[in-house]
Amino acid sequence: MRIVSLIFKEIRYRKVNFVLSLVAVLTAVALFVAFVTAGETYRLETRKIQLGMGQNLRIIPRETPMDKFWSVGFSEYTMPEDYVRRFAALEGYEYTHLTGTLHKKVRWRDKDVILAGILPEVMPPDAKQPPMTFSVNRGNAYVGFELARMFDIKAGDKIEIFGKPFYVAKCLSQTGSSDDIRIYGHLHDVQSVLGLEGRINEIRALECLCMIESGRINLDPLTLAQRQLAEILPDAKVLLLQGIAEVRQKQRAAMEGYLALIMPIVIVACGVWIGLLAMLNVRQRLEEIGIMRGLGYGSGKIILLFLGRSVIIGLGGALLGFVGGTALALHFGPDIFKTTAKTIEPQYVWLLWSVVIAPIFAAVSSFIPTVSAVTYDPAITLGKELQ
Amino acid sequence: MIVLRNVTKTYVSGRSKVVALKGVTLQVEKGEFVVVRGPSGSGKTTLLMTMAAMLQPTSGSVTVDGYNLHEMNTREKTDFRARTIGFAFQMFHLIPYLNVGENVALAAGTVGQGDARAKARELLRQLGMEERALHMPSELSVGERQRAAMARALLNHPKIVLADEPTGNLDPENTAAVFSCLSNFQREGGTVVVATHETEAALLADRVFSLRNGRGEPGLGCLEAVK
Repeated sequence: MRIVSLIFKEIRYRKVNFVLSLVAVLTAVALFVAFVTAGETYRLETRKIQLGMGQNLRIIPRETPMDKFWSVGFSEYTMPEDYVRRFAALEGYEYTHLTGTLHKKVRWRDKDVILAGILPEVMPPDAKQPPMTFSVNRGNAYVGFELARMFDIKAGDKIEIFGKPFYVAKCLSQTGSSDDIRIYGHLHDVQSVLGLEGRINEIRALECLCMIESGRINLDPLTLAQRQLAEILPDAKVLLLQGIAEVRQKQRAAMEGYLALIMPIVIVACGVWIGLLAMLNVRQRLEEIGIMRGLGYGSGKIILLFLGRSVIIGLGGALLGFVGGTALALHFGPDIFKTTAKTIEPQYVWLLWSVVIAPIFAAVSSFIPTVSAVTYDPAITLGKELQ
Repeated sequence: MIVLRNVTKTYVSGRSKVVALKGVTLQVEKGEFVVVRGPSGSGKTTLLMTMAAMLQPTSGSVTVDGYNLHEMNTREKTDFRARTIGFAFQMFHLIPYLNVGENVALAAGTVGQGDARAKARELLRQLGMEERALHMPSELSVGERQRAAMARALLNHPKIVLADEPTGNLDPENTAAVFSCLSNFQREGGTVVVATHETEAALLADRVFSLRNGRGEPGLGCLEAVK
């Protein structure tokens, strides 16, 4: 259609206005597409967290009395160390940090001391994060602050615990907790000292994520974890550390809230931006409107000239914005949503929505300038030459 | 036939009022070539734009072929201008992003339409502008722009051509070409009204209508043949 040719020639002539308008639509679409594309992943991640997946679990011997457990801080009972390996081998259950420990209160040099054996952290095969808990080499010991102070122990000293020599690799700084009377060693060393070979009294599994039953949104997270682990760890009970997950969930909810606030502001700002540029375009074209009116061009054709331009801006902005927004989501999404990064992918349905909505958005934004163009009295422009 | 009866046009801007036309009465017969003559500010352009239904008179009436222009709605005026009027503006008003050929063809309502392009080329040839058809307005001299504007006014074979100072910036040779075009148009049955302050133009006209300070020149009468 010839009007289309006229529109493109005008666009080519007034490139800056066109490009600025295009950038406005592109920005709005790109941010929206990036938001919804990453948002799909975000919702998946949130849902999994809400399910109790991505939780921190404490697994302790089944017969542990909980009153004692909470008052002492560890179980007096033990369970097989092999449970760590079984947990790690459990299919469909992912984790980022997994370790087995053995804690036991003993009398050492006439003082109450907690001996803590730590198994080096079991890392997932494709682990991206460094170990969260420290590990102690065989034959080494880390001595808690209070014990080091009481017995004047320094790093590099040699100590003996129940007949077994240890090299003091580190004296820990003050924590203000029971850790100050702890001596840490490799799990197998501590097991040997205590005569509890092959036994542990806690497994800590951090950021666990069930990939099998994530869709079952109605299941209580603790129940789900207990049910899944009951078969492979029959002598264990599962505790859930809710706190961290709740904080994360709140953080994500806050992020969603911010985005929900920002998006309308971005869209309104872009709409105003387009409207102002359209107004500028109309002002630049008053003479043209006047002459076209004078030549007999009706309102319909003049509307087509301006709205057609807006539609082209909308279409261009939609296509470029979709590409840009998707690229943003693919580039930055995996850093934000680490556990569900693999699920981030282009949402082509938003391409369809963008090419429908963006031209309407651009047309609506330039509606007032278009109306002013249509109702423009040619005599005002051409009146410049009235004698 | 164009008939203006007691037409007054007053421009109001804030507190100031300028009366551009004061009770002008004029009748232009079909096929006539009328020159509206007068000094700058005498109301010539206002008169032409009123005839073209681009300005609403403050009082009085303008009829063309029996239709009162200012009783028409916007759509009817648009149709009227498209069907009946070819207007060559004093300031040319060429669209800057269209080349000369496209500017001329614009009057056909569709840019680049095959038939309109051929007509545009022929008119540009008559006006000595054929080689400039693909040039942009910014590449033209003032005189060339004026001839392009004239070609655009003639493109649609309107019934009436209203030309505002069409030769104001032209050399004698190009002035002759423009008036030759207008004469050809008149010979084919068209009506021509040309606003100018040049005395020479009157020699080509069937009649001259003089304006001074918005009024028909009293000494000459509102309608006075000079031939």
